[in-house]
Amino acid sequence: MDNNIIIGIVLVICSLTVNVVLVLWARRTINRISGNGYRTARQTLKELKSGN
Amino acid sequence: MAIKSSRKDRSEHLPHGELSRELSLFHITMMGLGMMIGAGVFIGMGISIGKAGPGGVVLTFALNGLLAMLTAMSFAELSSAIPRAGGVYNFARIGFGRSASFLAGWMEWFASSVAGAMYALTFAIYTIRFFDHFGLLAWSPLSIEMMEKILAGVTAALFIYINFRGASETGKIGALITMAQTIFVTSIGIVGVITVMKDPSRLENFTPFMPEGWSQLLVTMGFTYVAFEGYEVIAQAGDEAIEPRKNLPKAMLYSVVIVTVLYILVAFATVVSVKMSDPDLAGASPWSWIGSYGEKGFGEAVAKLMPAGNFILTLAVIFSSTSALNATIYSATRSSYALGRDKMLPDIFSRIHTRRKTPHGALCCTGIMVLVVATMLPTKHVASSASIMFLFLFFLVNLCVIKIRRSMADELIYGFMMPLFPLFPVLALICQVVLAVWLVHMSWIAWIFAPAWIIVGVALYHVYSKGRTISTEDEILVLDEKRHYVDDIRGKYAVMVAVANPANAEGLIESTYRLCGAKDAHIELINMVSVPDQVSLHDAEKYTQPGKEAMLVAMRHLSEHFPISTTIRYCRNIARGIVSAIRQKKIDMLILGWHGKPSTSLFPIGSTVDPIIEQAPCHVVVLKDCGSKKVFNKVLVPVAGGPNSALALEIASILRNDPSEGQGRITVFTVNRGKGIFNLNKFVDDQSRRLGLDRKKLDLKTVEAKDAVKAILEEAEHHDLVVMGTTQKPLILQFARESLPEEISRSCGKPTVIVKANQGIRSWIQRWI
Repeated sequence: MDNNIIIGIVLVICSLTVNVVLVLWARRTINRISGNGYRTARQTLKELKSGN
Repeated sequence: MAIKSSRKDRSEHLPHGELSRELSLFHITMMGLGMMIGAGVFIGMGISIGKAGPGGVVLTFALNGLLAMLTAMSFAELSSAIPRAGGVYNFARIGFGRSASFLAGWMEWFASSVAGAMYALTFAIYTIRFFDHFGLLAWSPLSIEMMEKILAGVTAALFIYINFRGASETGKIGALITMAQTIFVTSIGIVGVITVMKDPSRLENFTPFMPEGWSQLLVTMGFTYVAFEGYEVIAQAGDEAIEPRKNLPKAMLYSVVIVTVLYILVAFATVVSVKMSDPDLAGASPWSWIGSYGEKGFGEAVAKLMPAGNFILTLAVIFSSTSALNATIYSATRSSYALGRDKMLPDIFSRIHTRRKTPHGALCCTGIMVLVVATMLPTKHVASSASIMFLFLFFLVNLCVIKIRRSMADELIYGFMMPLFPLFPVLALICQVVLAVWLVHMSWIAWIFAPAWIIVGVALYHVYSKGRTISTEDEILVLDEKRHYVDDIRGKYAVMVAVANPANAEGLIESTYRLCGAKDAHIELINMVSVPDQVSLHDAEKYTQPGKEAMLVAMRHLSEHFPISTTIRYCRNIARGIVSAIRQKKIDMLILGWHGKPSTSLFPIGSTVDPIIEQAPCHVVVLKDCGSKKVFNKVLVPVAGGPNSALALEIASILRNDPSEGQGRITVFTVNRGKGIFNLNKFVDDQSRRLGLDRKKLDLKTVEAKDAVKAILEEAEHHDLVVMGTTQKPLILQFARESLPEEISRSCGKPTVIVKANQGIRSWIQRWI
């Protein structure tokens, strides 16, 4: 198989995977933040780091 | 020199009503999708396959989806923090001030209106061609072009009316149309996959995969980037969306991932649509045959792929054009409404219809622009101008997300925060520059249109908007500013002293006198007025009395010796106000006091002092309990190397009692915790040479201990003053943990000074990354 095809398939799969993972991660974060109550960036980061 | 601030009665400037909040997550996601699946992908597919080949066209949409996700993250974070109609306009206003926000709104209004006109024309062209194909227009005395223009105008007028009916109608009708277009486009992709499953030999169409080389990929990515810009319209729905902090970011990210999958599927179907053995190819490869049709290549491919392909494609284009038209009119209206709401454009733009609750004034002006462009002007180069404007806008958004997270981390309420900050916006900025440069080669006329519109905007801002615009709660007001000297202070060391009240000012005088004397400095006294949250910023002037008294106390002692300026300012966030003044006045050193108690668990030193230490672009000296004419004969300087320790030694040498009288000794102290050897002798030798200190007046002491805080606190008991540098660590860590100097300062019963050195570009990088 042509090397270009392999690279192309890998790039398409990687970009799709990254997109989907980012969206799933973002969805989880948004739900966590709204569940804990909306706060400032500093407070939110502290809460996210502490795993709440 | 007194600066007059332009303040007016706020009641005069309240918006004329409120928008209704009726759009759900589904509605706003569909609005974004509707704007994305427009003419861009249908026209771009054929051209992209001709330029980049069969593999290139699939990669184009896959990688563009990834790039779109980067800026969508920025949009999502900003929209969750600033969920208001206006989108980029609001982000720019909060991030960079009025002039930048005016330009953002001005460009967004233009780009969306012109894009709307383009979609109206696309709808008209495909509809007229469809009827013409069946010979249904033979009776008409009008030319095809004339009929297209008339239909474009009628279509635009219809959707202007739908937008006037209200957000609910706009969102619901738009959602229905978008659902239909998504089904049509998805069906094309699914038929492509089924076709390959029945006839796997069609996969040979992907050979050669990149016949024109990888460099063509950048060209096609730039060309089709416009097909991913729909999330901008979602940001406009902040005033009308249900639970906007939660739903706006979700809708943006969902819409990007949905269109990416959809585009990849459609690109795949396009490549496999034609059989290698098809007699129409006349020996050409399928990809070059499709590419030879240019913008119509997608239609030819779909016609080969499925029965009634032309009919289905026409329906898909009709639905997608009207959906995108609906979304762009909505977006353009909200941009101009936001400009009118803040008095940057005439009052007509801010009017809300009493019954419909829609901004009918802004919609009317937007409608006129859409109708004029759709019926009178050529669209090709104007559409390229709209693309450049969108790129400029998105560039601004990525700058805004960095600036706003950096400077307003303690003010804005966030519903979403992106990971790996600021990696994504920085990557997006780089990509947008590359794509914008590429567009220069695509349409040079666009590079005349776009700057011309911007120049008109700049002129309008200075002639009309600048003097009328109302200040918002996020801005900094200068309430009073005076200069109390006549000397020329150019080139002098600038020291800013932040005073809160007379007692606080009294505590800073002695140290300020010593520090400014040593530096031959001029002094900027600043007072940030503290106003309760529930009070309007326009009433801030009523709260200036303690600040004025503090200034008088400080000036009584210092004005004889140093040139002094005073400024009283108001900002909802005191730290941001002080940092802004430091930047504006090019201050070299900031002196401020700390009462010694942490205000919340988030801030080890204090809610005001911590952000200042992090963000101030100058040396910072925080004094705790150093007033009442205390004499510092024995000063302890705990060090661990680095610029903050060096500055701590310098400040200690200035604040200690006069060493010529046999006193004023400094103990340079370090704790060996077994984690590495710090060469104390070398550090002291270097610094005493740099500062011109008498080495004999410096005592060196190293102790071995596991608990550095305990060791320093014990040593501090034998001294009058402790001076130490703050820790060098990035913002992300500062958000989460208390550092050693803060802990000592909080626990130590002796007067304490914490210093932070400004290191120019290194400080800048540390602050931002």
